[in-house]
Amino acid sequence: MTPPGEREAAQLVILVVEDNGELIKLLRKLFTGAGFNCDVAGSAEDALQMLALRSYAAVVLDLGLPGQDGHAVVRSLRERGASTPVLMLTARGAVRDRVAGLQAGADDYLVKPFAPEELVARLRALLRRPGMMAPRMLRLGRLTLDRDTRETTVDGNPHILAGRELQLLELLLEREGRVVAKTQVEQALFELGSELGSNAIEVYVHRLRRRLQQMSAGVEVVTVRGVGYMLACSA
Amino acid sequence: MSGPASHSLVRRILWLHGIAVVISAIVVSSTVYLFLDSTADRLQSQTLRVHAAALADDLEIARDGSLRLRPDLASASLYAGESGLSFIIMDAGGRTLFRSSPPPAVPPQEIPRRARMASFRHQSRRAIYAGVSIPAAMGRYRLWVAAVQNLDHPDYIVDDIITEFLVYGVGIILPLLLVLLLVDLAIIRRALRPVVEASALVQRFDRPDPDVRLPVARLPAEVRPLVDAVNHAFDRLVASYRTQRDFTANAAHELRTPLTVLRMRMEAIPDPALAAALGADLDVLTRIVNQLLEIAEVDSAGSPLGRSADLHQLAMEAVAAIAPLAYAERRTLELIAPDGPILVRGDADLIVQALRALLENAVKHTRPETTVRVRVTAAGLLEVSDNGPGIAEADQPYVFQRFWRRNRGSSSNAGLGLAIVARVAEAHDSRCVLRSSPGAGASFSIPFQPA
Repeated sequence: MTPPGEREAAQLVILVVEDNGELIKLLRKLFTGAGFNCDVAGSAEDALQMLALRSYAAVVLDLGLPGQDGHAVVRSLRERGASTPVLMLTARGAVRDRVAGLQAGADDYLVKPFAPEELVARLRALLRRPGMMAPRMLRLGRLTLDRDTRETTVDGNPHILAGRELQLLELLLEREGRVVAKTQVEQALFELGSELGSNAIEVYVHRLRRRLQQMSAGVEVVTVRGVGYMLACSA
Repeated sequence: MSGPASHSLVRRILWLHGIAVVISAIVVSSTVYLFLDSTADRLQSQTLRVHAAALADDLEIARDGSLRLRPDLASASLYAGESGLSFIIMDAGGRTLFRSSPPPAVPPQEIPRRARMASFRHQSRRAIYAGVSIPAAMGRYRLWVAAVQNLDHPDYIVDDIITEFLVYGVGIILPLLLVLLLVDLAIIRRALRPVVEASALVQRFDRPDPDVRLPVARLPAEVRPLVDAVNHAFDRLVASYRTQRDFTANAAHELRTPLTVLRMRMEAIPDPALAAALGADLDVLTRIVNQLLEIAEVDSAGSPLGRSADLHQLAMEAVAAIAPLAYAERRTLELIAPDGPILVRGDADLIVQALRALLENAVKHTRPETTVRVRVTAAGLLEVSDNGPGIAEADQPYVFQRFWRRNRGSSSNAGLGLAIVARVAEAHDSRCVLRSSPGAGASFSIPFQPA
């Protein structure tokens, strides 16, 4: 099945702003392989000229450039009023550097060295139209959840999950492999201002955990005490 | 700048000035007193001499050759005792020839009989007397005429004036000098204000600020060289700080870009086993580079104490970030914290780096199926504890050193994690405390300052 976004990517041209020759070659190969066309600029000045000549679907921008740095490119792009999505590549990973990048107007920020598939995934995420952000099918191990039909299957066999358990599973599947903070679970499952018992969340987690066991889904809800919950494949 | 009190310039100046005021008050009043006193003495002996000379003029030799004192109305009333004046006229043998009534209280043998005029003083139990004796020759008689003044007599006012002067003079001079002292205090304070302001400015610097220099415009010329030197030191500090920051930034770029190239090239390796092995090696290398850069960044970032961070939030983020890895390695994580934010003075990035290093360290050195516990307290303490094998006492002094590893043969880490922790604690004016005994686990704790 072709992931959404790939079909449009064929007509999309992205601008890669990078000064390292090796990396340019590899990025070009990576993006072409993923179905994008790309132009390359070797400096901030070149990039700004090229951005003035035509519009690009997205800009992949290295922060460290000779002369003016990547921040300058984003800033003058945004000053011109262009909303072209910008994915910044940087060697500096501190939160304050990230904040500086986002404040300058970048849409996303990836720290070197990154996994190539992550770069492609992030770029696709930027190119997606807002309505297409969420994929329809969520999968983990043998478990799938169809968001449209609200159907849960294990190895293709349907199982019925409903109400808050299903909402909780969806939330955890969306952020599979990451910890979902308890406060996020609260916000997603309950309306603002609803009276929550001190262990309301625990109750639903417990129910979901029991259901997943009954379904032998091969997936378990891990509690990170004091922080939140995480969905992981059972060992 | 709150040194011992004796180091305060203002206090020292005031102290010395106070001593100078007391000394000058004493010197001025005693000089004036001595001057007045000697002037009074001189005037007094002049007066007495005039009196004695007048008496000598009144002496005459009668026709019978005897000596007699011409009666003089003026002198009669003068010596009647009302004015405290008295006189005596003696011959060479010390016998009294004439005297006032009442006679001088000075015993005749104490009155000098010299060839020239002589002044004398006598102190009785009741009063002080001053006198002058002059020699006089009358035919065959050799005589001495002495006029004596009772200084304590109410009609004699010179002494009283001097005493009055002492009371009023000192009473005026001392307050005057004290007022001067206060005026000085104000002047010194005013003159030192720019210096005090400059000091306050220096105190606020917690890291090199390229734009802040001490203002020199209103500073006294005497402290100008000091301030110039401080500003110059700032210049160099800012320059070296910039160099260090630039170096860190360049190093990060120069190291991470080739790592990126390497990772992308590995996509082309057809042998999955080789790709996986190289990938693992690359992960180790990336980790070491990241840690080196983190250390360099802590070193170049200046003091983080001017910033504030929510320790509870950071602990949640750090635990959440490492949880997938920890659970994949079959360790349990838990965070124990009071409800609500815990604000501490510090830098969020640095604290997260330290916490991540502590968590990675704990996950790496414990057995599977054990729990790594993060605890934060309302007082700003951050603690990571495990129930792993613990750290031998002999090793404990070294664990925070850069590049130290218990087992040097292992190549999966560079021994930088705990060095980052120690450096972050140090940057926050704190210290990472290790408590461990072999077999009983280890706990690392860093107290942060509440914001």
